[in-house]
Amino acid sequence: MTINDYLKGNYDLAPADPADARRAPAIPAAASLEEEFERQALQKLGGSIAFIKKSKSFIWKGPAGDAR
Amino acid sequence: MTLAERLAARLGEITLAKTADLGLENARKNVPYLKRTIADLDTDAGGDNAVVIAAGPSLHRTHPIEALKAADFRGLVIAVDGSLGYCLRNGVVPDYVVTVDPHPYRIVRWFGDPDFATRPADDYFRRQDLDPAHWKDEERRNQELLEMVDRHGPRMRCLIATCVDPSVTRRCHAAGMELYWWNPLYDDYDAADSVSRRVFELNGVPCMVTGGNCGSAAWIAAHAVLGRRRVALVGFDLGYPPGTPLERTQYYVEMTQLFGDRLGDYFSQFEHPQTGETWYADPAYHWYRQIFLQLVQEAPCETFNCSQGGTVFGPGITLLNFASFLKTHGGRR
Repeated sequence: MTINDYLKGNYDLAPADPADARRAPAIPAAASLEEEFERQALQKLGGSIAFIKKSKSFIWKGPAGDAR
Repeated sequence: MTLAERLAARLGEITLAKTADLGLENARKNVPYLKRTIADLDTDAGGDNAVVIAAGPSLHRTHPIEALKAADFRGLVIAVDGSLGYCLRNGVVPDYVVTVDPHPYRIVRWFGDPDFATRPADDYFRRQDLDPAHWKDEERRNQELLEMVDRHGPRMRCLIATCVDPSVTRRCHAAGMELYWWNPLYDDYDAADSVSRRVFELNGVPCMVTGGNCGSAAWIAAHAVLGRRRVALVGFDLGYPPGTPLERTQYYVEMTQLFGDRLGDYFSQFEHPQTGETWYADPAYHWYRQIFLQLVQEAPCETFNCSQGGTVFGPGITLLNFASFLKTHGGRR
């Protein structure tokens, strides 16, 4: 006895339509999963402190200050 | 682009989102302690050389402090908070210690935590190689650190970011350190609702580029604040050495839950040019590394990485044995 002996189905399926495959989502399921996976990973990660470098200077002394 | 690289590419925005509000809140709490800023430092004093002692695992593999002591180095010694205990235990009182991470209770441990007994259960220090002494008999090590920092605090200056938890401020102040404040540059100060601009308007303290972590901030302070023209780095790894058990890496618990069998995808690999060893960077280290390699191109100093390991090598960085640096540049201040 195999599982197929028990699972017979209880309604008839429509014949497979090749067009169905062409109407599949543009983003494969695996890609969405990957994005979700990365999103979850990023929720757990982070550096010690924010970083930006806007100009040549490493110091900003305010709007009226002299940049070094 | 690998998974590790994709994650690293997003860490700038993620870290800003996670640290800006906390940093601003801590800056408000730290206002009563603001007496001096990095603009008050005498940047012309002394010579051209500095050593930044970061807290990476190479510090405990190569033990550079012995060479430092033997050389009678006359330049500035700048420690990060995570290497302060290592320095003091080995008989070196740094001229400066740098601290920046706004975490609510972990960072004060680097200075000895007076409230150690009441802190939440946290295996952060046991899991990491930042300073192995911290995960061996933690309570005794904390007490030892409290005593050492109290004893030597008056000889040290702390370059302290306004975003740190007030427990760090109180601890450094109580230990007798001179505090020189700076704001982390969080974001574009010309942008609408800029956090950098808001924190500057709150306290008037100069903002400094961070590099994303304390070691990079210490290197930036060495040349941009203290005016050193040659900066040597030790313990500056931004990575894990070969053979590091995964449970000793940051975010191990969280990433194991998420990555499972794919945990290897989470790390980038770098073969060190001097040693030939393969070091590993998680996305955070990868992000720090990319930033550092960018900044070193723009820095008005020579940068010598004397760590003998790690992921930090590339254009603009001279890899050098630490003893060689000290022999050539270890002279008078």
